This record gives sequence, C-alpha cells and structure tokens, in this order.
Amino acid sequence: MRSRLYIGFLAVLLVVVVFMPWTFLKYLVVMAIAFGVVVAAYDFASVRSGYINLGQTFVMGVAGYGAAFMSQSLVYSAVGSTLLGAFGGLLLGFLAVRIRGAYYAIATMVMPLLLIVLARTAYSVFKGDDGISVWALQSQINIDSAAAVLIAVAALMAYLTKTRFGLIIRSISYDEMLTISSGINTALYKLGAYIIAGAATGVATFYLVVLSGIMSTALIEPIPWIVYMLLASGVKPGDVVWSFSIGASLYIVDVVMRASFPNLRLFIISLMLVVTYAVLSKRYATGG
Amino acid sequence: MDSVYKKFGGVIALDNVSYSLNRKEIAGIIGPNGSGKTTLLNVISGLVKPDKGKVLFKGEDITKLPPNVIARRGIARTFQQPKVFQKFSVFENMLIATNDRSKIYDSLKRVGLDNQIFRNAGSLTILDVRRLEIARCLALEPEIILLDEPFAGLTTQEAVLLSDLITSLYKDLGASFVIVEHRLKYLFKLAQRVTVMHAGRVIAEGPPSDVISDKKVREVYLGV
Repeated sequence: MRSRLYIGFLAVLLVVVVFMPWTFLKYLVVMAIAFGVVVAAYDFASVRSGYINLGQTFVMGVAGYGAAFMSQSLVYSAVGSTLLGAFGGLLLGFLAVRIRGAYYAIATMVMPLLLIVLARTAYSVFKGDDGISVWALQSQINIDSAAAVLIAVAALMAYLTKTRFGLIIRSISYDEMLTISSGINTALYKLGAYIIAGAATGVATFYLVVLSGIMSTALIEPIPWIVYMLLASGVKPGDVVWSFSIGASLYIVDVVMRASFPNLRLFIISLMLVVTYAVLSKRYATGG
Repeated sequence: MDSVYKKFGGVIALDNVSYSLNRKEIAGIIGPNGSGKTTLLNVISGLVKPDKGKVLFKGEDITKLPPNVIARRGIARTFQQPKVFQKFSVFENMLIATNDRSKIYDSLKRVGLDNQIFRNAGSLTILDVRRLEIARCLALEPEIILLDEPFAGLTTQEAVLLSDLITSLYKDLGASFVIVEHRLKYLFKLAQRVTVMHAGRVIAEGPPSDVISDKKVREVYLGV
C-alpha cells in the first residue's frame, strides 16, 4: 500500500514538473528533486546501516568535478559523474567497513574538507570558490527528461529498500553480529550499498551542477548540505521516501532563505537541526 | 578444537582447551559464570579468534575463517541473550539467512512458527523467539548447532516444549548440537555427553550421570 502511494506521489510529481508553465520554478523543483535523491541515497547507505556519515558532500564533490571536467560532452559528463560518485561512495564504504561510531563520523567529516582545501589550493584545475562553468551543458538538457531520470532513481532507491538487499542493510544497523551469524558478509553488503548510493548521488549531482551552471566548493560545503541531510533523514531514519521528500523540501526552503535573508540562513539551519534532534531524541527516549 | 588459548586483557578465558564433537551428538557444556563456555562457542563460530590453537571442522582448519563463512559451512548458533531482529517480521528474520522461500517455510514449520510468519518478531514470546533463533539456524542447513543457554528465562512448561523440539530436530536432522546451559535438569535429559568448564579449563567430561557425581564438579560448580 505504501509502495503504491509512493509511486503515485512520484508520478504526480513528474506530471506537475512536466506541465509546470514557469521555467524558473520548473528548474527549482527539478534541482530540489535532485537534492532529494542525494538525501535518499545518503539515507539508504549510511542511515539505514546505522552509520553517522558526515562526508556525503565529498561524494557530491567528486561526482561534481567529474561532471565539470567532462563537460565537453553531455553523455560523458553524466556517465563520469555517476561513475565518480560510485567511486566516492566506495571510499566512504571502505571507511564504513574499517571503522565505526564517532571515528567514522570524524573520518568522513574530514573528507569533504580535504577536497575543499584541494579545490582552493589547486585553483588552476578546480577554480576554487569561483568554480568551473558548465553553462554550455545546460542548453543541451531537457528539463522534463531530467525530472524523469531523477524520479526513476528515487523510485529505484525506494524499491531497493523493499528487497532482501535493503533488508540486510537495515539488519546491519540493528545487530551486525547477528547478521554476520546469519551467514552474511556484511562488509560486501555495506560496500554495495555505498556504491549504489554513490552512483545515485552522482546522477543527482550531475543535474545539480548542470542546472546551476557551475561546479564550485559551495556544493561540497558540509554546512548546510550535511545539516539538511541529517535533518531530512532524522525524521524517519532508514525511510528513503521520507528522506527524499523532506530533502527536496529543504532545498526549496534553502533557496528561499538565500533569497530572503541570507545573513540569517546558517543560524536558522543550525536552529532547525538542534530543535529537530531535541524533539527526536525525546521521542526515541520515550519509545514514541 | 585443539589447544585453544584466549585471553581478554588479564583474564584467561580459554586455557589450552581441546574439545571435540562427534557426528550426530548432543553435547552439553556446563560450568560457573565466567568459566569460558560462551567464549568456547564464540571461538567455534568464529566470532572470537583464539590467540593460540586451532578449530577444525571436518578436518579443515577454520580458525581464521570469518564467522559468516563458518555459518555457511554449517556451524550455526544462537546467543545467550536471545537475538532476533525485533522490528522485522518472522519471515524477514528468516530472509536474512536465506532467500530460499521453501527453506524458510520448512524451517519455520519444523519449529512450529509456520502460523506466525508475518508476525512482528518483537511481539513473540520468549519461547517463540528461541524457536525463531533455531529456525534461523536451520535455514543455514547446519551440521552443528550451537545453543547458548536456550532454556534461560523459560517457564517449566516452555522449557519442556523446547526440550521436545530439540529432541525432534535431533532425530530428524543429521546435525550435532552443543548446548551451553545452567538448567541442568533439561540439559542432562538431552545430552549424551557433558563437558564441565572452570576458569577457562575443562575439568571433567563424560555422560551426565558420571559428571554429576564427579567430586571436583560438585565442588566447583554445584557447591556441594
């Protein structure tokens, strides 16, 4: 029943985008959907398997630079972004296999920060905070097909949570020792989940980069992006449908904040995170 | 298990323990708390790697194999604190161990849980949780099933039902059982051989009637 509702919701979303008459709003909604996919992927691999991953923007960064460096061709750019996203996911997955808990959170937090330092230091290659322009690709993109691809990726993520693979990923967060004792190589499953999530993030990042026309360090900054991911996935951890929907909504909220009160943006975001987790921790503490 | 030694910090959990299991046997392990019984099961199932010594299964050295591989090779186990995925249904719990639907239904039928397939595992009684743990083991088609204190927390009536289940599984399957247990009444009815551990060592071994009358066993375990 819930699966049907979700498919219905995605179908309605696609119809709304296709028939939306205002171009600016159409672009905004598709970018919001792209960020929703990033959050759904984040939830699928990290939150679902019980890991506090603060480095998802590293995957976005690796994929985004891949899209930018291969921007001579739309196809190469899309494929490059997806493959590099999968590679970024693999690196996070390796960390998830080797370390746990706070150490994992710290190690992953360092990764996007290192990438930002690299992008600023090697300015001639990455163009630092100014970014690499990919405007040329934007005219080649069909916004309706972009929405269709992103919605298909969101649907795929949701479908995977219903499979045995998704169930095993979830079981790791509950009791990894029991999962192992059930004959499961949890390391392989974790790596698989991170690669899939990385590839999905790569697809979404490609559209975020192409539709915004630029790839810069702004896309790798853990604040606000990781904060939004934590917010969106915190409401119903492990439920990619919720994460996708809230993630997409937060992207629109962020655009509104950037336009209306940019100086208060980070304050509001921090407040949102603190309040959300205070409420959630109370709820989980009382078993509600 | 050949001369297995395992130390946790300053505590010697297993002190050169050698232990063997015959084909199609129910073997019991008893001993006071901290005597190394659970560590022994952990070493056999690969969850704990010994500092010294070897674990052999059908002549093959499995000491360094990961626990998931050992489980797939045919050594399944349950835990002292009943472990099931409480937020999953009974069926989903089984699905973690195998994707083979017929194997799932067969295993659940054998333990008497086939009428509760879609029930949430968190709402099961302790006896049914124990049954589900055993069904999960059966789905792995084990040759050895390690049961860590299966009777703990059960009422007398439930303990009898579980004892009957183990007996029927033993008769139907070709598997061997190793049962760590404090409730000797049930263990002694099931086991053909009992090993007594104390301070990481095996201090006695034999048929239950011999072990219970052993002077040293009565002294360190039964306190008489």
